[in-house]
Amino acid sequence: MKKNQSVLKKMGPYIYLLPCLAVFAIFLFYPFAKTIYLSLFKTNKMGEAKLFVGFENYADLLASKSFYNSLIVTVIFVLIVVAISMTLGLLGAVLCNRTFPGIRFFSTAYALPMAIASASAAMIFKIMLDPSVGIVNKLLGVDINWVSDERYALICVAVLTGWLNSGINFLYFSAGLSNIDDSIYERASVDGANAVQKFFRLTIPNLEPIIFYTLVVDIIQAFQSFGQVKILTEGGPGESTNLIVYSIYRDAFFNYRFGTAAAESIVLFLIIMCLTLVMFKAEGKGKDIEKSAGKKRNKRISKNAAGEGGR
Amino acid sequence: MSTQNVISAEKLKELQYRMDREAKRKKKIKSGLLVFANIVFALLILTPLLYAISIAFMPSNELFTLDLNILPKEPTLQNFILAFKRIPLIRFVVNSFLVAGLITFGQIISCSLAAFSLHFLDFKGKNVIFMLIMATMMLPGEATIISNYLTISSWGWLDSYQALIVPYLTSAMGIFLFRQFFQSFPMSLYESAKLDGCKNLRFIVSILLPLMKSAMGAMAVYTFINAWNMYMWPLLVTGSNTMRTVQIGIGMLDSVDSQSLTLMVAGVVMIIIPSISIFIVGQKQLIKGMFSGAVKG
Amino acid sequence: MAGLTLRNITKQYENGFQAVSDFNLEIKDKEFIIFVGPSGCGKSTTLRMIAGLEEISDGELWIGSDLVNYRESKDRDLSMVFQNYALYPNMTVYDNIAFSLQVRKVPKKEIDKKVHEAAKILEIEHLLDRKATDLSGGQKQRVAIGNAIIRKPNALLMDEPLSNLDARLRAKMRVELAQLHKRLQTTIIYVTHDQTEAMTLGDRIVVMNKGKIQQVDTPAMLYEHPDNQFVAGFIGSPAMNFLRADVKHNEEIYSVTLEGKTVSFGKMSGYKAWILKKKYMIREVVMGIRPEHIYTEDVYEKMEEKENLSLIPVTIEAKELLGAETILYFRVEGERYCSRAAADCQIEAGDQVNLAFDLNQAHFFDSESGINIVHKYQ
Repeated sequence: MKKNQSVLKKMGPYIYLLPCLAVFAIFLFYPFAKTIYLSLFKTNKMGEAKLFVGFENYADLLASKSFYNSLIVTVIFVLIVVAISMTLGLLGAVLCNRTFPGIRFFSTAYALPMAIASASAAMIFKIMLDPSVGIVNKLLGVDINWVSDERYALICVAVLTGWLNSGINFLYFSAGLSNIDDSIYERASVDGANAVQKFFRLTIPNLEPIIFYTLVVDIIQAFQSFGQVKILTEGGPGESTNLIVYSIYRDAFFNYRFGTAAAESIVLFLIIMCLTLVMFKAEGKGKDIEKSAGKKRNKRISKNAAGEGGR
Repeated sequence: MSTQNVISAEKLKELQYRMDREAKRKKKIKSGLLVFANIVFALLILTPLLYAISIAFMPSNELFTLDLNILPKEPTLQNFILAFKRIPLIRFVVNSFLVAGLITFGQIISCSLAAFSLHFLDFKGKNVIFMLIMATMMLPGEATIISNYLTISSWGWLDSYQALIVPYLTSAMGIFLFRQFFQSFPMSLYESAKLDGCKNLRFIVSILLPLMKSAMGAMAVYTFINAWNMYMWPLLVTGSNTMRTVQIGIGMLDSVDSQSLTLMVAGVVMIIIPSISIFIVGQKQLIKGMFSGAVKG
Repeated sequence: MAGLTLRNITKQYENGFQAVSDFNLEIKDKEFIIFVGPSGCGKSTTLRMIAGLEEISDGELWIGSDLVNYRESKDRDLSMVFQNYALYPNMTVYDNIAFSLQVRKVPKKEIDKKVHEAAKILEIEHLLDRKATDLSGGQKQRVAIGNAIIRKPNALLMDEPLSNLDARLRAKMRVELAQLHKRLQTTIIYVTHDQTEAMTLGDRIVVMNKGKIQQVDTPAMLYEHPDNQFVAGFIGSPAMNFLRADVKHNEEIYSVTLEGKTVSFGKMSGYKAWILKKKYMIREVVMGIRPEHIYTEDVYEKMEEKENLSLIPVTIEAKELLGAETILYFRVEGERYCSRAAADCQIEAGDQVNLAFDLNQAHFFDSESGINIVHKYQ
């Protein structure tokens, strides 16, 4: 009896962790290992590993023009998305930095895109960009078939994604701005600085940790955009919007090449991991001297961020 | 030198009056500019939504003109009614609520239990387990989605609620958030409860739970919105109308024929409403919960 | 550099609360002036109005011969040291000090020279490359001052600059600030709630309470001739003792009744006694007497002039040894008072002793208005 109790006591902490660890084990650790495993095999249509081929799937990928295209398209896409979402988020946050009547409405409006699904947003953009009835062509007075034109399709998907991501960026930047001590602005006023000087010499540098963090989140998140591509362009026209994630989806669930798709996912994982590490390394180097809480803060948040991306 | 001698009293009064007016005018212009800039920017951000709402109320024949048609001339509810007729929208909404609700509920339970254990209890391998959980945040969903799909299908779970729900019953982010939140409580809170003979579970239910409201609020809003907006996973594992969630189901309104563009938008507007409402209601909670832990550290 | 004139300055918030009312003051060029008062008395608000960080609701603010009410902070050519130092966390010490010159687009060479000059004065040359966030409290303090003195501003404003330092460092900085003022020859307006700081640093002190000026005077004058009971109680540590006293006429001897004991001041001469006789007969007054003017019996015995010194029996409640002196606490009619005695004082807590109240040194205040009777009927 007594022994039983002490065993229970020892097991207690693990029991509380059990639900979480079980889900993680079955739907994260195991599948991740399996993905690595699959990437080394040729598979049948059921996704069963049939023939061990070593790194052939990877070799095929690296030799494939289509994959390189995906990579390039993804990089361009990510750059545009990050530029747009950061600019929109920062602009909103700066506009809402000082209180004025109606600020609550505006700050809600700027954060709102984060509540909208990529699929829903894609459908709204679809009608906005419609060549005959869409508002965009009508307002601009042009006749462009936005999503069916190789020149514009990627930009359209990127603008949409940038808009979607701007909401959470706004929240991050707002929180960052409100964390800056008001008295340094007061001191700057007495010191003789004007608004522009204050913005570039105080606001931006002091926002830097949060800007950096948001940048990491945005990049990771942009790499994983899927719904908007599926609905707006289906990777086309040609392969102009065939982002890696979409290419994985197509290889696995249309072409039933699970092995190739698995290899692609691993490559994507490696890219994201390397990017994150490199960025933190760069950040760390730039701030070697600063061992203050600010940096610890960054790291903590960034882990946090990767999780959001994974959703 | 005394300042009195510089300007006469009358002149001073006048000068002061003029400067006062000038300063007030400047202030007005400044705040006016700020509000104006905000209105312009808000319009820019909200354009897609406002446009969608406008189109949703537009009869479909009105859409097909070459004129600039921003607002419907004869607003109609027809699109909403037709959307309900064309697809089993109610079923989709019920599915989504069920799935998002259960995921939210499950995550709050599993994450708070895990965070409790990781913060208040002491056991072997605690740090390793925590690091492992945090490391999962680095894993993009795409690296596991194929294998997960294969797992689910080998269990015969395809096209079922459990396929939509079970893989999302926990989240590293949630554990992190709760643990962060617990760190604001003094350890003595737990220790004194223990001394009073309080069992762990009772401690969680009767002491922690009431204190966790703000963190749970943030978590609930965040998780629900994300679950409601899920796309890739439901797309893969659902096939029938009975199981589809709104985000997938609404796609059925697309691609039928171009006449149905307005129907599609009406549908989209309807399924955006729940997530936006929850966001607006829970925004304060969300910000408080997410940033008090993460940003201020 | 220039003098400042504040005329009828008022600060009223939108909810109607008046933080500062009808503030009048001439600050001379190169003067070290202190605003002192309890928290919430409006001293910081006044300073912030001078700096341009708060709007002035009414009145005139002159810097030299310019009316600057509506001039923006950045154009008033002032510098300021904040209570929390407000260092720019993203910049190095060097940039923190140089900032006000950098934004004025002063040539780099000149900035460099001045930064090093200022750093040398403040002995922080070795810190110039450090991040502002990596400094200790005292170092931050020096950097904040460095930034303030690098220019020759119209005036240097300091908002409780020493309050975040520990006691030892505060005492050290107090001395350095006094030296700095001599060296810089600059107008300094200094806000503090600490009367010791005020007394040791200021050329003149502005004592404020509830948004109003109570008295403007030199430290010595404030101490010896307080205008009212508030100033008398605020300046000096330990604080002045206040006793309710009745002025009575008894066989041509005018006396004050304390604890049922009549204390004579009949032969007390001078203006104070005359006013008491003329205006306060059979009335209550508040008598203020500083701890150092309540003597122990042995001191009393040795005194030659015992006129107007009254021995009152009290029970000592507590004794505080401060090294150079001893503070004795006792009660009269329920109120707690203290006396300052010699360091080697042998009295212990619980002892019944006689203490001598030196009425020659006492101040008398109107019991209703709190105004010093000498000033009330001048």
